[in-house]
Order: sequence, then C-alpha cells, then structure tokens
Amino acid sequence: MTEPPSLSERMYPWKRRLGPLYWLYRGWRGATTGLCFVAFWGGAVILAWLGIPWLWLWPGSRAQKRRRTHAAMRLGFKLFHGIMHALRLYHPRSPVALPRFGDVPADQPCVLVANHPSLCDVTSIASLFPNVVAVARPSLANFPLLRWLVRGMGFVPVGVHMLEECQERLRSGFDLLVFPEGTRSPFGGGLQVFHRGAFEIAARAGVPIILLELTCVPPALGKRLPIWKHPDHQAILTVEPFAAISPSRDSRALCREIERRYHQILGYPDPAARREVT
Amino acid sequence: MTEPALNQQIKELIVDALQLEGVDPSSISDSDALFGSGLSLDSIDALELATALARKFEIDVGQDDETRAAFRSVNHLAAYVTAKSAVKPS
Repeated sequence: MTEPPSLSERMYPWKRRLGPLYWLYRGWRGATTGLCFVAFWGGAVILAWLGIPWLWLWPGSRAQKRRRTHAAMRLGFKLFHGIMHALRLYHPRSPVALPRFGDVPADQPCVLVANHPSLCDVTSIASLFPNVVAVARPSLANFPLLRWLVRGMGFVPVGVHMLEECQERLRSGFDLLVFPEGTRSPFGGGLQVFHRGAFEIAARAGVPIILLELTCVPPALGKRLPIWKHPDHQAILTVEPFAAISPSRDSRALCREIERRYHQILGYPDPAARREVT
Repeated sequence: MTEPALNQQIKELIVDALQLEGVDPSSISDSDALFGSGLSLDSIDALELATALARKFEIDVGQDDETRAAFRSVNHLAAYVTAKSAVKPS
C-alpha cells in the first residue's frame, strides 16, 4: 500500500514534474493571484464610488435600491470568478441551482450555514445562488471606501443591530449566509468553535436552516495561507446542501448539535470529547 | 442612584433579559467576568444585554472600545451606565 499524498504534495504536485522551470511557473501563479486580488478590491472600490450613487439616486423604494445594488455586486462577483476560472486559479460549483434541501420551497427564505475553508466562500456562494446576503465583519462594513457598497447590497455588519437587520433581510426575501465559526476554518483540518448567532436568527425569524458543506480541493486561500502559496492546480470549491433543519428556541443546544454534525460529515473528531479534555 | 442599587438593577436586568432561569441576581458577582468564564455568556447574550441596557437606562450603546470594555463585569457596566446617563440626563 502506498502512503496517501501529503498536504504539500497535494497542493504543489508540479514541483517534481517541472524541475527548475517550476519557479517560473510559481512566479506566474503568484502574479495572477496578486492580479486577482487587485482586480477584486479595485473593482469593489470603483463600483462603490462610481456605481453606488447611480444605483441609489435612481428613483425607487429602499428595497428596490438594495436589490439593484445586490444584482450589480453579484455581476461583479461573477466577473471576478470568471477571471479566476480563466486563470485556472479557483472555481466554485454546486450540484444544485438553489441552496435548498428536502421539501423546503424555493421561495422560502433560509438561513444558510456553512463551514468556511477559503477566502472566496462568500463571493462564490453569492455568485452561485441568487438572493444571498452575508453577515460582514465590522472591519469591512466600516471600511470607508467600501462601507456604502457592503451595506447597500444588503450585507449585515456584525454589531448591536445585527439581529433585527438579519430578520429584516429574511423578511424581504434574501437568504442569509452565516459562518458559525465566525472566521475561516483552521487551515489543514478541523473547525473553529461554533457561535450560536445563526441559529438564534433562524429561531427568531422562524425560518429553516440549510446546512451547506464546502470542500475546496486542493486547499486554497485558507486561514493563514499566504496568497503567493496558492496551489499549482485550480482549486475547486464545491458547495452542497446536505440538510434542512427547523429552528429551535434553544439555539445553544442546536448550535452544539450542528457543530457535531459538521465534525462528523467532514471526518473530524467529536468536539464534545475535545472540550471535556481541555 | 447609589452604586449598590445600580449594580443590583443591572444584575436583575441580566437575568431578565437573558432569561437565565435558576440564577439568583444577587448571586452574580460584581467583579467577576461575565463572558467566557463566570456566567459564560456569549456574543448573542452581549447583543441582547446591550439592547436591554439601552432600553432600560435610555442610553446609546455603541460599538466602541469603551463599550466593549464595559461588558467585562457588573462593576464595569455600572460605571458605564453612570457615565452615559450623565451625558444624557433622563
């Protein structure tokens, strides 16, 4: 029996094949990854400053303006992912057209819960599926160049008013994406401790929770992985719903249960056992 | 309002707002940590407590470092409420 390939062999299989030319390839890889970063943030700032005034000054209700901005941003995300795909860097896909599972109707707003393997999970999910807004970390939602864009497209900044704002988004027909880990999963395996916010929001709004499993092969854009260490092959992010859960008033218990399910489905040891040890 | 009375009010508010069944307000320590250890409240509890404080004492609860520091203990919260009420007398 042969040993399974190590993480670095899975991420950088061309090192052996290309020999001395490998560093040329890595240079190209680093340059294209860097270009995508610049294109993403540059594009966001341009849209924020040139697009937002038009999108918001054009007549319409507040909800219409938000829809408009969301649609423009989604187009931007799709363009961004198109470029990343063309450069063979990263490509999201999903076996389903809508993040639904079981008998949850298509027009029923849901809280989407997911593990968080890569930096582009939000842009991927928002471009794969219509009507997805996410909870944004305050550093992004308050960043002067981007705050109007992030808020304008319906993303909810983490903070004092997030519970009410999240419920408002669900009422107006958006799916709300929340990563219970609060940040990206640890690189190389395992999950961060789950927070119960997503489950509390679902309980208050009375909407189902759809569990999404995200797998990124080979691992890319992970927590504490510098961008110039992007893998040799194109990373494929697969987004797949695997369960629909009814909300429960006891969001603490539900949170622990879902945390256990995620460990199970991803093949990590039960978190309860780990907590007892520490 | 005297300090101990305010502390007691805050403790009652914590138990009330967070529906901590079976917790006696007077059993909550003035100086122990509310989050992580001690009562081990979490991020959602903090949000609810912030909303309840804002409503009860008619103060603005923001998102600055001062507010974050105030949520360390009952004593810190009392000092915060006193400071905020002084700015905006009811």
